[in-house]
Amino acid sequence: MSRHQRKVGRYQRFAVPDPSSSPAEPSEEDTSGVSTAGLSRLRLTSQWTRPSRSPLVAVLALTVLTVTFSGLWLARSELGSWWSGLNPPPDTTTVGTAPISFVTSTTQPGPEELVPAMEEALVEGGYSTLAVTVEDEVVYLEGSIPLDQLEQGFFSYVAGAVRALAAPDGVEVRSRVRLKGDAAGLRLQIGQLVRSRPIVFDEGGLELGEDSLPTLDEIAAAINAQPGLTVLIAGHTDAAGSTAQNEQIGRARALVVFEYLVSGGVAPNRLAVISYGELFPGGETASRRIEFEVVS
Amino acid sequence: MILRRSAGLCGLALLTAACTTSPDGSTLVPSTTVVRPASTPGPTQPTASTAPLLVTDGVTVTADTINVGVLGDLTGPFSGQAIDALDAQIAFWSELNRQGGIGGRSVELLIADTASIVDTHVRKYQELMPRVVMFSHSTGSDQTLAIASRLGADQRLVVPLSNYSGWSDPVIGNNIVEIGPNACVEGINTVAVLAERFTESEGRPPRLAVVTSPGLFGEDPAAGATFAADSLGLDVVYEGIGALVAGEDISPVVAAVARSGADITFIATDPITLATVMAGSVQLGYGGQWTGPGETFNSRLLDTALGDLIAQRVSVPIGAAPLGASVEGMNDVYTRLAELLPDRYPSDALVRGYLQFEATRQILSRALELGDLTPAGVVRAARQIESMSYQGLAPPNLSVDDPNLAVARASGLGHLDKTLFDGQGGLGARLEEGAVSPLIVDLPFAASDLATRYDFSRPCSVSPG
Repeated sequence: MSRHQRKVGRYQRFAVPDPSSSPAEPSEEDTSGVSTAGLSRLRLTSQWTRPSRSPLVAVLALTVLTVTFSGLWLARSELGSWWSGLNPPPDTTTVGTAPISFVTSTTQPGPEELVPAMEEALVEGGYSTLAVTVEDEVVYLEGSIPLDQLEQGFFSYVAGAVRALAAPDGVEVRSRVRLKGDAAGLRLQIGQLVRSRPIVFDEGGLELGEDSLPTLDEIAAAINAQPGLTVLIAGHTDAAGSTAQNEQIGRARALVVFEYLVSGGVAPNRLAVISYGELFPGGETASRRIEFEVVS
Repeated sequence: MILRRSAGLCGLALLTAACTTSPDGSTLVPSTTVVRPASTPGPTQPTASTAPLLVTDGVTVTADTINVGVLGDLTGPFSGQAIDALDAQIAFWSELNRQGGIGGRSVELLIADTASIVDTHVRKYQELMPRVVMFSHSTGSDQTLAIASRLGADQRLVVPLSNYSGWSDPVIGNNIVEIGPNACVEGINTVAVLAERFTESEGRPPRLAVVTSPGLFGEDPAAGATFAADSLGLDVVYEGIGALVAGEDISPVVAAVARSGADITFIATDPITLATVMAGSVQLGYGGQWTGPGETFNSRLLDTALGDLIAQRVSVPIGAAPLGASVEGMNDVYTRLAELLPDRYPSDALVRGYLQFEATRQILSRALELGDLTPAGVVRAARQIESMSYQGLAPPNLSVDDPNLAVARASGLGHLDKTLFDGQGGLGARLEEGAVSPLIVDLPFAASDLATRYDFSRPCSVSPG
């Protein structure tokens, strides 16, 4: 009998099924490992592209609904341990997006002409929390709805909002929806910010430079604009000192950034902290850096 | 074209499945013929002439709508996977609705965020259940298990985003629609294959470390991994099953992995905890390989500082074809996904979502054929489908009462290719650009001897309570 078979409590372990033997009984050990959090609100963002100018083809436009609600998210925020686990967040916000494609005719008026009518229709349709804006040739729909409305029927809600938008002209509408924050987009956005203005530290230092603060402010805004995504703050160091010291320094640097972002309005449960220490050098100064990763 | 992999996923024959090759050399998926046990009861299938009217309860299915529930972790540590799967479901249901729905009725998804919390999951189930004819999604093993015992009395089906080994047990999973191999099978097959490869290259068997988060998500695959290790006589140098507890200091676990001397670490946890364990143990000198469920080794990790390490040292079990894999059904699914979600980046959970949609669609369509779209009718319809057709996207599960026949024992094995995830800005391409999963199939769906012999008359791991 192997070591594992002797200590069996929870698992069924036997190499060959034997009708005369029975597997070990399961233990009553708690394995849930989960915690509670509430849900409260939901935000909707939408974008709608202008009809194409093709004379022959019906036009495809795109609308994005962003659904925001409170719930459980990851956090790893406690000081005092090198490798803290996931901490149940006190509250949290997350995001999804719901793109809707429109097909309309070339006789359709442009978005600018539709905006007042759309706003009126949204109010009449019960979507009074939504606002319509136009950027370039894209119409954006933003607002909030209660989460329980999602539970009443996602397609119904989206279709209702779309009908309200399209009502003035009765255009044909096809919807395709999704619940998703743009992780790739957020990663790109933060990556570009950090590449152009790296968050670096003096040797052994734990203080943020003044020139890092505007970058972090922009990162905070970017994270808040995608409230469904968890961002991992990764601290790096150079190779000076011991590995253990560098791991601690990397974590401390990441926590400094964590606290700055939280002070800037980012929900702590949407951030996680990791130290890579000296594991991934990036050049003398760039080794003492912060990077951001979106992995959820 | 998207189908870049030369190795198809058609694997070892299992049960009555068999692989063939077409005249043009393309790989065909297993074809399965199942004879339902004669003793299995089932309703008489009405013919078109005997069932001219459709029975509904008027609540879960109305004159124009079929209400389907979703119990999804839209928040929580695995929300990325759940949301990706739901994105695909929503897209495919929307497409189907545009084409007339099911029998002229649109399918409406009632979506609840269950937040990866068992109590919330149960509460949301109770709230949604009276209003939906079935559930096309339920995230998580522990969460789904918490509602499983109610499903029979409530006459509801659930298609879980979970591959717990208990789903093939009729006592536990009688109303659960299982898709593909369970996590225990994946654990067995993965350790068996990696041990064989390691032994061939190093001339000795590997030492194994096993570390997981608490709960069935970690414990079920770990049970398979340790079963394989025991059976193969591997030395398990560290066993930290359930050791990665949320909110607790996991530095002792990291140190233990680093000190263990393991050649292979089997880990089942969420991606951020995985990153923490991996980075920490590597800093402390760990130089071995890693493996664990695909949910743990999220491909987005390739775009982190750990990306090179993950690409070099990680093997990932495959229970459903990665997005873009060379299997029969993928071309159609990918083409539709690229049209429905053109700006999305590839995610293998999109395939999972399609499989959930397809299982639900097939069940509801059968119920429609039988003339009974009540919840009970839907349950009966599901039991008449002896094997779902997934066109090679996942190994087939059989709808029979014997778990040892029902369970799919084949799984694949792959690795993550960073170059496929390393386009501009490290983002790779979008679906409309032909982007595919960075998970590369090294071993098609196949069942190891150990998995073939395993007795699934009981689940590999059992949750408390």
